[in-house]
Amino acid sequence: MSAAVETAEALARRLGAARGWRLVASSVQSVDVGMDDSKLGGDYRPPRATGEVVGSVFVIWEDGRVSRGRIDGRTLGRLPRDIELWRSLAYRDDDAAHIAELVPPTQVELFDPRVADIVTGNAGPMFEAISQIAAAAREAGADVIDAGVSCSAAETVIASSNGLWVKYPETNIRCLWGIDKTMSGIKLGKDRETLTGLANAVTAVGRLAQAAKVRVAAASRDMRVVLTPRAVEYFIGHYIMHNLSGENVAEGRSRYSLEQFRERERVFRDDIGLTLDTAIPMGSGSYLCTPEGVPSGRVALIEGGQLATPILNIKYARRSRMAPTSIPAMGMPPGHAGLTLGAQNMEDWLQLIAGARDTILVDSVLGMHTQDPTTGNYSLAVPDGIVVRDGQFAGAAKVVISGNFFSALSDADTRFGLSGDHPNPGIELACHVEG
Amino acid sequence: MSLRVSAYTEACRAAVERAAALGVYAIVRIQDKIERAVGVANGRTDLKSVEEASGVGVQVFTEDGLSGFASSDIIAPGSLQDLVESAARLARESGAYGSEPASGIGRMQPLVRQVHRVVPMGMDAVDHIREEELVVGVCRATMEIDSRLAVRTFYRIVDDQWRIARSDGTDVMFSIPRAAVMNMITARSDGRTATVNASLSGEDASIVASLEGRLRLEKRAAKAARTALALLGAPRVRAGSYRIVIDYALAKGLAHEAFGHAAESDCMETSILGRNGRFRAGERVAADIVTIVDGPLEGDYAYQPISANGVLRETVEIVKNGITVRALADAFSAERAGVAVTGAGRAESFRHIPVPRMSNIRITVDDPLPMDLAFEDVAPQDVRECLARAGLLLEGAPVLYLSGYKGGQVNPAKGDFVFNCSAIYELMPTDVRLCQPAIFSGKVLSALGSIIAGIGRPMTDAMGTCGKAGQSVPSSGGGNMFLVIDENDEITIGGV
Repeated sequence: MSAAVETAEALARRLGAARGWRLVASSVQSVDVGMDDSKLGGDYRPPRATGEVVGSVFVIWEDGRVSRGRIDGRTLGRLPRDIELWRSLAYRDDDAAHIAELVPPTQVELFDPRVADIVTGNAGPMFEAISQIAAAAREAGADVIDAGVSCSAAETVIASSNGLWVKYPETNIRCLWGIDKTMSGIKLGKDRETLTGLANAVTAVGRLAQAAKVRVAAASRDMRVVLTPRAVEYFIGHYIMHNLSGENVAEGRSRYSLEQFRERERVFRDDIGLTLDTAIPMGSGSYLCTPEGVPSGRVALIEGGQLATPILNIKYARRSRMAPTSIPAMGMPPGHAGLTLGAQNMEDWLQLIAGARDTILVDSVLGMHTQDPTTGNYSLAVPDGIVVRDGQFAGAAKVVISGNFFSALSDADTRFGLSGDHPNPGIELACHVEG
Repeated sequence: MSLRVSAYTEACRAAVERAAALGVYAIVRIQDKIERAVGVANGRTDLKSVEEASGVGVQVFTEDGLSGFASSDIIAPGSLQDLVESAARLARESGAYGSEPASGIGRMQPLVRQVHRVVPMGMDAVDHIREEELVVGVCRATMEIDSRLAVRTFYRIVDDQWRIARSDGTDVMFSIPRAAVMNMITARSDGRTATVNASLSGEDASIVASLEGRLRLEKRAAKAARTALALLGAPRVRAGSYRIVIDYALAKGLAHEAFGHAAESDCMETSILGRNGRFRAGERVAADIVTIVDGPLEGDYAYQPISANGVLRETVEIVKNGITVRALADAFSAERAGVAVTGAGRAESFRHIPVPRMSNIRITVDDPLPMDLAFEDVAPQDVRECLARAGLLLEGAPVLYLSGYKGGQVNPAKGDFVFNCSAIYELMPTDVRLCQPAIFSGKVLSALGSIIAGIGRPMTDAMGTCGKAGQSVPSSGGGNMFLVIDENDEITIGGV
């Protein structure tokens, strides 16, 4: 039995007197290897192994007040002291004081025993993956390579006082690479195959990095700019996620109000939709149920350009009088967390680029986190905007792009291009470019 | 009262002995952190939590210099012995794949020291019910300014303790207490929105529990709220290059993001302040009047007296009178960068490998223009008048005053930086006009080289979080109340 299961069982016994409770506890083991400045390991990237119990608990006491606590490897040995500590900080939050009714979690495959073997004793495939990345990057002309591969295996328990007891194993792999400190890529997954076939993705990034070595001038003007799927993910993560967060909507910190959701107000072009799917088999952002017991699944957040629902946990679902939704997994790009933007008649990504007569291709920006997400306005530095002329990379220029992302999603001329390598499309939109 | 981490002597000894038996050198990093937080949304408490998190990370170095690391949240002699073995196994396994050896452990002098920073209003000074009342009060007071405001207030107080033990006999313990309160203020009206932040940081609960702290916070929050409301109808600034004035929070951003990272010893191979992998000491990067210093300050949010490798942290003059002097270095990359060790290694937690990074960085200008008001009381008109008296206003073009720091990002390899502010004021000889925020971007060295004046005394409490190497570590700093940066083609105000 893992430490997480032991801890969960002990807590379930001890919390019997509370009006309600729920918890999530995971025993996580992970291994991480990496390369900085083309050197494997070294001063700051030694191979790392970690083992921990992580989790959280939520308790509703007899008087209706609630407590939140953190679970770690020491929790088991500190009971019942920790429960008293959590109780001492109880507070009133009536919308939050609710435990979800028992609903069977979605059955989704999340575990690959071959990855667990890597974590528990054979890190060789991870070093080989780093070698694979480095070789592909060098082949693509990289001068400086940064890379990292991490694998983890966890056993998780999600339980509640309403009879929920879900115990499941899970594996995760994350591969990252950067070329010449300018362009980077990421591959996430849960199965052993995530560590293979990296060369093509690295080569694609290498092409951009190569193009960035040739500096060309870009004049200041209004023009069409193409955001790569990776850049689109930055925009989704910053602008859309903030404004669809149930907490932000309910608390008045979103661009949109609850009323606008209830009235299904049109906010984007009518062929645009945004869905969240957290039940994709072996999907990097998939899970069985949220820590609150809400089953994973597919939910439309924006349908036909209209607001459908915010992303709602139990508290804000109750406050909003709407149904709770699944929640995007934390700490990964939106597409890998199951959040995908789409439009009707999306073009092929490579053809969209090949057909570009005069554009700037934007793969990464500086300063996204400094922008006010509620306005939709952006004003971002692009150190390496790839200048595309007649479908060919002509070099790179440092530019500042500015515009409004929400206006772009309402613009009939905005085009979408989907590739097989990314969950989200690239977007061609109009904006101002300052050269 | 002794430090909590003093209880782990046996565990440290067990790890060091196991390392000796395996023929490896070990650095043991134990962290024991207590953190209490209160969150209030629109006057209602939506979070109260306490976390007691502890754990240990062990980094080992084989006789060949190969390094491995293992961590756990269990701090016990047996667990630490297992971690040493696990880290040593990984280090040796990596050698088969051509791992680069680490160097530098020999440059750290053995140290036995204890720095227990006792603060007047620490974790237990204010009971949590009073603490909640205070934070709710801060939030409600801001909301009451105008019905169009939504306010999220978040308060956190932390008692973070570390113990570093090494195979060379080093055994240091230190505490780094800190506290911060942040107000995120959103104004909404007629489908338009604007968000402005107001924060205050320090080492203890006095930021909300003392009269002085509350007054400062209330003034900052009121100023931010009024700005957010005014921004709802504010025009956009025209993109281009201008003479600009930045406040000390933006100056901290400039010093930290744009310059401090470039002065860290681990990135000299690609940094704009490196040449052939070595720090470019003795080169002019700014006018004679400019000095940049980094180092721990008692009472500061980002105070850290000893590095996460167990080396005393120095206060370092990175730039003196416009000339580069010293870099921020740890033992692992100092020699390669051609600089001395300054104890700059910091880590987010016991799970992380320390990297050279800043603590409190400030950029100051000699003989600043006088400003008698407290920072919270300075209005844009006061800045304009100060510039006018010094002959720094321009006839044909506005001077842009960038107020409030909303974060930034830099590419130290290329010297590109970008920052955002909360608001921009166009300062003209006869008028002041509020405009929407826009990014301030350009080349690091161009910005430094264009600093022509400072206004007011140095302020050093601009709070932030340094995200280098994927780790989040408290940072702070500042500069004179305001810095004046002359127009330069390589510094652009973005425009939207």
